Amino acid sequence: MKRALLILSFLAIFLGGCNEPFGSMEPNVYVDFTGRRGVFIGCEGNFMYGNASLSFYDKQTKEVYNQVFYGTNNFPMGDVLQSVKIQGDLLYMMVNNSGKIYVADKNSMVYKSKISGLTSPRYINFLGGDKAYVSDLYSPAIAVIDTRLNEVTGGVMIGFAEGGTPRSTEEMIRYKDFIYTCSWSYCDQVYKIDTRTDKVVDSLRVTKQPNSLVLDKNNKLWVMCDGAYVGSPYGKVNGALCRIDAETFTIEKTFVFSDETVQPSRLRLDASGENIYYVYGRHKSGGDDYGIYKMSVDSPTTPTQPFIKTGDKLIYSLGIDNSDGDIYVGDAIDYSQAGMIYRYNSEGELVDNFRAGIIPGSFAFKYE
Amino acid sequence: MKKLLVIAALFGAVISVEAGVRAMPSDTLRVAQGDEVVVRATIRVENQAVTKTVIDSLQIAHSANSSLAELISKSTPAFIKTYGQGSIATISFRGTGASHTQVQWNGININNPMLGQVDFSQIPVGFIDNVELYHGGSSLHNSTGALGGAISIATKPQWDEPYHGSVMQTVGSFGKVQTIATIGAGNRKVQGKLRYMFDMAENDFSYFNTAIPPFEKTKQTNASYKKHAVAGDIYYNVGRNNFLTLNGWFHTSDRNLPTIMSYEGLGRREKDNTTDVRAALKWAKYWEDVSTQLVSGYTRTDMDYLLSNKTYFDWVQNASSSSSTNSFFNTYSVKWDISDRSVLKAKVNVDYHDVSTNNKLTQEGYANNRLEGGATVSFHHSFSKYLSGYLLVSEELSDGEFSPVMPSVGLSTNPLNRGNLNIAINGTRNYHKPTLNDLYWQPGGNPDLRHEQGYSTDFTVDYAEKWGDFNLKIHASAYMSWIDDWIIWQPSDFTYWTAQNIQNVFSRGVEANVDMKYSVSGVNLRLAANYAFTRTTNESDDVKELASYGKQLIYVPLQKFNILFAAEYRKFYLDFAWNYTSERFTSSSNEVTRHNLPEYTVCDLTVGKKFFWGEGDKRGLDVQFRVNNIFDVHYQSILWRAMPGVNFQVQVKFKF
Repeated sequence: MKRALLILSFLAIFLGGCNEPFGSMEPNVYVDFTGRRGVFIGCEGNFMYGNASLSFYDKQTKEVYNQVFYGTNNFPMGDVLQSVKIQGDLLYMMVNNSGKIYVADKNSMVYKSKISGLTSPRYINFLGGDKAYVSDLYSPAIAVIDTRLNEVTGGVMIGFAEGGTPRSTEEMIRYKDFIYTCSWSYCDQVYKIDTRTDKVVDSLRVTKQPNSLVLDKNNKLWVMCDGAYVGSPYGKVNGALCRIDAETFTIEKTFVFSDETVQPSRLRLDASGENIYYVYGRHKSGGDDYGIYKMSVDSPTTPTQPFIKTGDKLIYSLGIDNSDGDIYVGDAIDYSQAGMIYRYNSEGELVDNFRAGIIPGSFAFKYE
Repeated sequence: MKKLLVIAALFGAVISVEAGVRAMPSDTLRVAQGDEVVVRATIRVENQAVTKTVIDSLQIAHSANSSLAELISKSTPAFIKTYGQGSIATISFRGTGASHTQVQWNGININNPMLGQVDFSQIPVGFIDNVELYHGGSSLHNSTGALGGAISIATKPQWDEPYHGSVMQTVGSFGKVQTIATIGAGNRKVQGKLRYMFDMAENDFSYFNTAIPPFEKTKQTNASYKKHAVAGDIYYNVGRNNFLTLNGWFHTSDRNLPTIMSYEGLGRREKDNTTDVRAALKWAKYWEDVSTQLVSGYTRTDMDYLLSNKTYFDWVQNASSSSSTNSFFNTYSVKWDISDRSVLKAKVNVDYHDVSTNNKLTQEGYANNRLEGGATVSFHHSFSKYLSGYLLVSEELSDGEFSPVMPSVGLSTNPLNRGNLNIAINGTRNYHKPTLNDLYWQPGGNPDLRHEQGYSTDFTVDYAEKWGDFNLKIHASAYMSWIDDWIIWQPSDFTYWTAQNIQNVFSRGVEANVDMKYSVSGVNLRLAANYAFTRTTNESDDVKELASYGKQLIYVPLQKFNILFAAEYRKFYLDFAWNYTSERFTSSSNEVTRHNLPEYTVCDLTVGKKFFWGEGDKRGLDVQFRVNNIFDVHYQSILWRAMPGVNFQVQVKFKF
């Protein structure tokens, strides 16, 4: 019996594990980004993995810093970093499946505050003063945020689809006192919201599943619609690009794409407001016409050849640097390893490429 | 006496009997049943060169209030990926995916035909009597499509008991309450057994949350579960060596699914409700040299998944989907003991699956069915007292298309001619059909998927020795396995993922098991250790230029090691389980980031006392106290999913 107890004691002492808190053992890593020009890259990470991350690319030195938020603050970003946006000295990070927004100093990456209690935040639009809107995938409402208190103070009710599915909201654009937003998931509407009353004042039916929108130099709203997927119970139509007059809120022209299997996305605008960019076919397995397209807002037709071919990439994201027109393309590769970023100049020539985090999905350009 | 022996052989999986049945004269262990019946467990000729593990029956008995996930995790080299107590637990056998392990319950497959996998947290150990693992290519002796391995679980009759039963009550930390009751009665003609389980837990454990600032103790929420299960078995000795067995199992589970640790939204409710119905009818007929078996079975699974989120205005429902599967199984097998040296086995099966799934909000879903069949023939022969081998050929038919031939060949040698050292090698080609979700899920199912193909080879050494009161058993195997056209789901375009034959995977490793038993001064000691080294890498040509080429698959630990130390003295007993899992990568490129899962060691301690009265220790009371995670280790099995620290359970079992 004594021998058995001795053996047990041995096991208990030498085989027991440690009980340090998980994930907090590594030292903080501080980097000073003051005065450095470049781009923050929001890397979504895998849904339900909680491995979202933030990278910074210094476009002058071509240095890359990955996991800068985790490294600086010693806690993870969370689950699915949907978008990032700079406002003043702060960087706002919409952590979609964690129901919150992290706010950090854009120069030190030091965590400042958070806006929790959201449902499924997607994008933020600052309205001036202390007010901002945050769109949402799972909520039928846009959240109204007080950016001084970092609290949700209200909501703009969008509504429900037939069957009770909440109308999701995606990217937002401001024109005068109105916010325009597209409702993408199982929807075909663009909503016009009066920011003074926080009410939807109008809506416009476009092609199915509008996913992104921009406002050009002529005050025309351009809305990219993916047309839903082949076989969708919602009904598949060809993807289309809609041009809407922001003043009258009417559709002026719809450019319908010919290939019904392609779901175009990531509509972007250059600094001059003269050219739009979009992703048409992001598979590396796609055809020669797959790629990033550049189109003048005054053009009567969509271009027939891509500005940058998809090639071997799996294009997941697109960003335009307004300071020099450089184009940043995020390649998700296999969606489970550090994605690649390709930087092109405004002529479409490759300038640099580097690795960021898993599924690079959004860009926030730092100009100072 | 003779009849009893035959019955024992017929319903036990690997046992053969000294008299009445011809088998190869090899030996490993003698098991005494009462005073007069002696049964010898052997490596029979049809099991030679087959890599197989049988979980110790005492360990099954001591784990009766656990799930099969916990038992496999602590007792075998297979890795269980779990979201926590009561939550989804899937297996990775030899580095393969969850659908690459086929699970048979009383001779019928219980893998979900839509998902292809089994949730091991939904199988209570108290509902099964026997667990066998067929490693790698040896799985073809049990079932097809098991590229990682196959697990056979079964119930067994107690022919010598006119009546028996037990009531086991467990209460524990975090609102854990579990009742398992069994009752059995019958005679040597008919035996019946009924089992019931109620299991619930609030699962509201505290953990130190390092995913949200400021770091502090946080209580787990929305993790409760409630399960009910009833199972019944009827065994009927028809006479003239005919036996009928009817097994039934009804299981319901209502589970809340907790959020990821970083969640700070307004509120989220996510849950799945599952109902399983399983039934198997077996007719077995035995002649002197030939035995046949017909098994017909039915399984049905209904699952509801619900997701609601709180918004600024109210709660809204974001997902509500239902799925239903109906499967019918028919297997007829024949075994012919041609001579003392040769055995011929043949098996044909015809199965049918009918499934449907629907997202009530979006109306996405599909309904489809699959008719499949197969035939397997194997010939097992002992060439001499030193050398045995087998040749197996299997073929499948699915939706009118034949699979390529699946052959397997094995050789086993007994160089010392003493039965205590056995060296074997085998090689197998195997195929795994895409699951019905892989083929038809809306959106993303891909009807053009090819079968996954597996090629594997095993080299195993078994050694057993007995010195006085010291018993030693060692099993070691080295294996290599190639899986081509491994199916994975990848986002294809903006909105959904698709199933594709993407990866070619090379898996190789070592599995070792040492089991020592020693009795001294009335103390019975046992030390059982399992070690697995699993290197599973992506060798696909189309990733040759990528960082993921040649890298370990995500969530597959390079090393897994568990040790069980058990001691018993005057009906006092003690089990100490030590479980080590090495680092796991969560990115395909294996980059060193803060999101890798570090190694962890978790230990459990069980102490108990049995009080018996009456003849043969058959009636009595067993009082047990268990401490799980005794050193309060902070760890994660799945990234940013909270796991409980030290927790306690008290179990009282009354047996009659």
